Amino acid sequence: MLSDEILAEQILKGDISAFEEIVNRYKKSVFAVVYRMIGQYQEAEDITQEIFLNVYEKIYQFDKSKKLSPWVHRIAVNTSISALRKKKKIISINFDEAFIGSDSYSGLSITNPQIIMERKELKTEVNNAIMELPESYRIVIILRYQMEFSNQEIAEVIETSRENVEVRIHRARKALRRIILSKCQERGIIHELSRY
Amino acid sequence: MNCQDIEKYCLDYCDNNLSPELNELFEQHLQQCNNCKNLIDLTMLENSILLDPIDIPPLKPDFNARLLDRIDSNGQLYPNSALSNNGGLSKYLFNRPFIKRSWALIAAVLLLALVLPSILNQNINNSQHLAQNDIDNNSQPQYNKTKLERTTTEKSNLSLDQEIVQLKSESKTPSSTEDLADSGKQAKITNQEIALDTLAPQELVAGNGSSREANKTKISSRLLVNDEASEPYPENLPPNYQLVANNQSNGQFIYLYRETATNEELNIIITPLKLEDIKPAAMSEAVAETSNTNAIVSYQMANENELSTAADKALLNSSSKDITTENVSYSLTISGNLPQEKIDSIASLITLTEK
Repeated sequence: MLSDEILAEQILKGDISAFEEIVNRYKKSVFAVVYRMIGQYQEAEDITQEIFLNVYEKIYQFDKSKKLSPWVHRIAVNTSISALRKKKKIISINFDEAFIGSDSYSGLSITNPQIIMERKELKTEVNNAIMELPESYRIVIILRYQMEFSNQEIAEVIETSRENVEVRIHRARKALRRIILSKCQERGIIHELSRY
Repeated sequence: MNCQDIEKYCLDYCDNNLSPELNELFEQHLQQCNNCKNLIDLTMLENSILLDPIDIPPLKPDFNARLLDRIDSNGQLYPNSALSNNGGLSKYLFNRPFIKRSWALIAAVLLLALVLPSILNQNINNSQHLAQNDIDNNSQPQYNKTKLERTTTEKSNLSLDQEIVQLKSESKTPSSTEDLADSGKQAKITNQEIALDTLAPQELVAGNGSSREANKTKISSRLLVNDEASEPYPENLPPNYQLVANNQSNGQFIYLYRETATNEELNIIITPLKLEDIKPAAMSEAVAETSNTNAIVSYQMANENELSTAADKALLNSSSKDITTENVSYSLTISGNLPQEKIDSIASLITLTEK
């Protein structure tokens, strides 16, 4: 299998199939980032298309001595943030209802239906709380916990130091918790959570 | 370790990033404090939720095809997907920065294309008109067409009456250089833009013993001064009246005089009369007197009903009479911002000469 960097060179030579291969490799993760940032399917897909067209147009700017993945995701993050700023809807975006509500739990093993319901509700609150975070916090939360990037990879994507990423993640988590607690207190969920 | 410390190290504890010593102190506090235990439970749940694989909906199967449709065989980008997804060609076109600038340019060009022909046409007409004037001066008959508009107004303040006389004219009068040569005069045609603002001083009208403010007369006129061979010309006016402008319109000859000392305006309209317009009595009188003089005056005072309002009457006095020369009968209307008696006396003196 050809490496990303070789494919990038082939794209520069006009090889469209090389570009399609890059699209196939990254479209899922890029769309995941955009969808988490934007929260609406159709718009996220349109933005994903724009991102790959940007990748195609700017591939000559790619430094072949570095990895392609952070470069592609940097374009994805920047394009998503630009789209959010255009919409001026950085906060209060709710996810499409159809795609919320996975009952696959990786952490706690909870079988009580009431608690499952509460967890589902809490998951919705968490997802919505992420959308209420400032974009600089939102992107590190998405990349760290939902895309499972390492702090170093996040640093490469957002072009900052690893230490800065750690601090930003810490602050983002605190901000996220404040939002979630206030939401849960409003709905009385926090009382039920105290049982486990 | 207190509750504030727990909050501070909460995330590190959940991520297993605390040192063993701190971790032990942390757990000792949790055993004693339910609030902090709840906080840790919530954070752990939060972590598990954040780390849950989220249900990202799959991309549509034609994602690649639509993306590659926007790249042509030469590697250039097409707007195909934008056409299908973002509201069509117009939206795509208007959203391109270059196209935005181009539309402004196109709009400017279209505007210019609309305006330029009329400007060019006007210039051509002007040049043709000037060229025609040059030709007319040499050999061609000349036509003048005159339109006169006259308006009178009065301000509510009785101390100031105002008359506005607006004259707009284009002249079209037949002439020929032969006539001019015969008369020994040179036809001179000039386009003049005359705008006169005059405020006559207050004057007393002796006739009714009341004071009357003289009128302010504004004359805005585009006059074609034409010394025509067949033009009737008023004579025997008092010597202090100077001709300011003359004009021709719809067969009428209009002369505007001004009294140099008082700025009184005198407007004389000479209308050639058709045979049927001449009253039998007047005609017989005119015929009777023709044998005695060149210009026989059939004097007629101004009709009182001609001026519709009292204000108009105060502003403008007029007098009219018919004069018959050797060939033509004319109706004269003399009007101006001067007392009726004065107008009547001037009207009685005026005779006509045909140039």
